[in-house]
Amino acid sequence: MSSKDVEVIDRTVCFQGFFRLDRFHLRHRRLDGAWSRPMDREVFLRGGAIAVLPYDPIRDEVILIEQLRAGALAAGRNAWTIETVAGVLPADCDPTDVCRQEVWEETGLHAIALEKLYEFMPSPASTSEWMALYCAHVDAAGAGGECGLEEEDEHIRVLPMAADDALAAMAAGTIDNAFTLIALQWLERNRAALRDRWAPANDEVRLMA
Amino acid sequence: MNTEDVEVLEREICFQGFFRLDRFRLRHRRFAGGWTEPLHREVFLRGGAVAVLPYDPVRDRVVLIEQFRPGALAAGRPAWMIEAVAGLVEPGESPEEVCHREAMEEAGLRLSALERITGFMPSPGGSSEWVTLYGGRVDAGAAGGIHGNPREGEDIRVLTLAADDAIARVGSGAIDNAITIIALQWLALNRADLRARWTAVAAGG
Repeated sequence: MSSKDVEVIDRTVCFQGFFRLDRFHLRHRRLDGAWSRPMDREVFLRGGAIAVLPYDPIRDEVILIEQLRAGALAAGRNAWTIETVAGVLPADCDPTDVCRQEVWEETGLHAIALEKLYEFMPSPASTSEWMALYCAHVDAAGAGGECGLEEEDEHIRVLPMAADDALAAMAAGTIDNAFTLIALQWLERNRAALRDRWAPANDEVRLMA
Repeated sequence: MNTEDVEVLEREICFQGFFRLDRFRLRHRRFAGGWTEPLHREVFLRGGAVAVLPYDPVRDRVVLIEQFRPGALAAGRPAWMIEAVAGLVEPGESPEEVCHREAMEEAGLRLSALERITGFMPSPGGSSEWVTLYGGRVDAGAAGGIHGNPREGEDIRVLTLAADDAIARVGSGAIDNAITIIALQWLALNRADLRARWTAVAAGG
């Protein structure tokens, strides 16, 4: 199936505020070859975003951030979530430029190298959001404290932690948002190879010297 | 910080259709001390969902489903997605009951064991959606065909894949939704243990 197997008969803007919600009146080709009856489907419109897991391969530390998330508040859950760096990806921007900028704004660190992990949709049934997920090579020396852009009402606590502790927090359920789980699972599967690429043995010796 | 460090000053329904969108006026404690000015935050209200990755430990195969997804259409991405089984929690239903109901409705599968993988928010910045994710033991021998609840407009193709093939599709980007990536990465990390547990139970039962 492809986009020619969907016919959007009508599209209505239901709400336009900071975000937008549209209703699609559509039909689509069924798997048996016939067309479905017209149906209404509401979609929360978001667009592209990036998320970045900053990782220091020499210290074997990740840098996560804590901030208030309104969706978690509305769900009746702890409204302060522990996450990777993330930000909106404007349509005409290079994702890696946005990654570097967000890593700097949200953690005060420089991304020395970036590796793309995945591009995915967090909730494709009803939300158009898609996200490009990266891992950033950082030097975590001095990481910590508060970051975030005052003009964007960002209030962020920077949490450097041993990679093992972050993986334990994931297993314990303390880290409970999709992109951070995906990034940490990826790290768990790829940590040894990543350290070899980003921190060959001589660097480790240099740090210890 | 915890929930005591947020104060909701006002909450307004902006849109109520099949879904609902609310605007919160709130302030919260700052890490540096003191409170923020009042902020506006819009939230897409969803609620609880359950997803299950059906896995056959004997054949080492997973069962995935392919269906049309309007969010992907709106994003201009391929609108038929390959996913784990998933559904919304109805009032009074336990997450495990949702797993069994949806596995039958969406894939014609009976789950002979369930293991909770994790619970997570797909997009906590702007959506209240919450997903509880499970692995479910199945016999994938007869899995396949077209399923779904026609009253809900569901039209679902059931696919069985070797676990290695499914995990490789995460790496290649062919599987590109959060629930299924989390489920398959979990399988990649836990497959040997899971097979040992589930095949032992099957032999004993």
